[in-house]
Amino acid sequence: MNQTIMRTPLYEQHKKSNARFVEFGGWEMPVMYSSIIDEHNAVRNNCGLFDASHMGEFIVSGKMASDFLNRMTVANVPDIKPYQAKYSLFLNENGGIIDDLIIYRRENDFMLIVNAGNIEKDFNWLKKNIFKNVTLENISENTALLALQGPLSEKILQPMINEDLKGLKSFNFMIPAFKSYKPDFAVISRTGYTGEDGFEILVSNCEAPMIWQELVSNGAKPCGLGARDSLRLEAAMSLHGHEINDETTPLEATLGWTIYWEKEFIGKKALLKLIEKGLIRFLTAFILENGIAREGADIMMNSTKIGRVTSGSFSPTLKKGICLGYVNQKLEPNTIVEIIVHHQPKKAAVVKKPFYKRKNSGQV
Amino acid sequence: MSNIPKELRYTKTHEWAKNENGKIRVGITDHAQHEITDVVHVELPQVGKKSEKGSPIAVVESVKAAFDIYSPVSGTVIEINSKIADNPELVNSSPYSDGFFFIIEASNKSEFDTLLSADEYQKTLK
Repeated sequence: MNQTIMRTPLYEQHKKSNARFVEFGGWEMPVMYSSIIDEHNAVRNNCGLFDASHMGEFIVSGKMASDFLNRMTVANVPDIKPYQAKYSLFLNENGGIIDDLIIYRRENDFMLIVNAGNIEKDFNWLKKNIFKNVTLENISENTALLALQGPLSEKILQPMINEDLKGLKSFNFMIPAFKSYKPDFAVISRTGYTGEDGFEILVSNCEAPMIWQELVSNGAKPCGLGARDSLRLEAAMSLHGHEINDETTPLEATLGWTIYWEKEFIGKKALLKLIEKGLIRFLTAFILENGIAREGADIMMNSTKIGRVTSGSFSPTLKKGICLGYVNQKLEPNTIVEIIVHHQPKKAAVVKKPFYKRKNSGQV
Repeated sequence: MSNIPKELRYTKTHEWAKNENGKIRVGITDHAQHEITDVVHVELPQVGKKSEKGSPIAVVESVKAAFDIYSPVSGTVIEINSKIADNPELVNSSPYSDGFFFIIEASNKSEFDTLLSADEYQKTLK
């Protein structure tokens, strides 16, 4: 990993907006501007704007690109249509999750968006398993990623481009024609990581600050990593390094729905074996009666430890402590457990995921 | 700029203390509430709890993280501010008044005099 701290093309914008910075995976990123709760609520009720430029982008091209990705991920890759995006996973031979990613099928090739901290690891893993006639390119350094999220996103973005955003369905993308800019590279997808309607705008570095500025002028509130984390936790979306990592499988992480079983892929054998043996860990969601459980807190039942919290925070929407964690048994909703918070047991109820679901939400 | 009232005493760990005839009222400073932001939960000690100067006695939580509150003096907790259990945002909006944490009956009166003055606390923030 590079020793010098990295900054995104939007660093100066963040500074001007009085961002508080934090180091995240080698990047100096805004954790918040005003307050996490303000920013969280802006995304739930209006529109927020995140800098996700630290994330990685790869282009996978060549005649065998589809076959290659079909082996490397759990998705049914040949079935993805041009201009569709799909959430998927890279697994290792043991079925552990190397990373989660989004696959974008373009006209003639694929683009992958991967987690910031895993760029090098993912790229090496792909390179190690590469097929003949497949070309891999890491374009992360040339591209910025802006995430516009919240019910007013469409209204705020629409005046900036020629295309009609109404026609863009969830998990689809397009190549936009901006009215005021001509970036070398631009993609707008109807995706996000907050549980709200919204768009992710992938654009060459050079134009990113102007687009950021215009979105803010149109009413989007700059939001930092703090709100991004509380929003994704309310939506019960897994975070690599927390709910998912190289040792957890998609079955334990309740990501079995992402797997297309009618094909061969790395990790499949291990997963089939695990199904035969039976799972011993189950990712479960809890709401606390009071107090806030954090990552690492013990989950107890009848005075016995049954698991551990992987992510925990205060939910600004529910106004309660919420958390995700692994337990060694399948627990039905409303089951009461105790979570140890500051050395004291706190009552927590098992709930169905997600904690928060927007009304009229489409495909996730 | 943070508000640092002259009449209070302070700790390096950002608690303030006010001497009310040997009873020490305790809260966190304006600087601390600003750094923490969005106080969403406060874990208060029980009345009657004995505390040592400098030992953790309460917890204040923001959306992001939990922070220990240290006892500025040794003594016994004789009153807690239950208002902040229901309205933790008072710690942000009124750190020196409605957002106080608890009152300690000091067991060693001279300890209070060793706390930082407003000017000394101000210097620690630089």
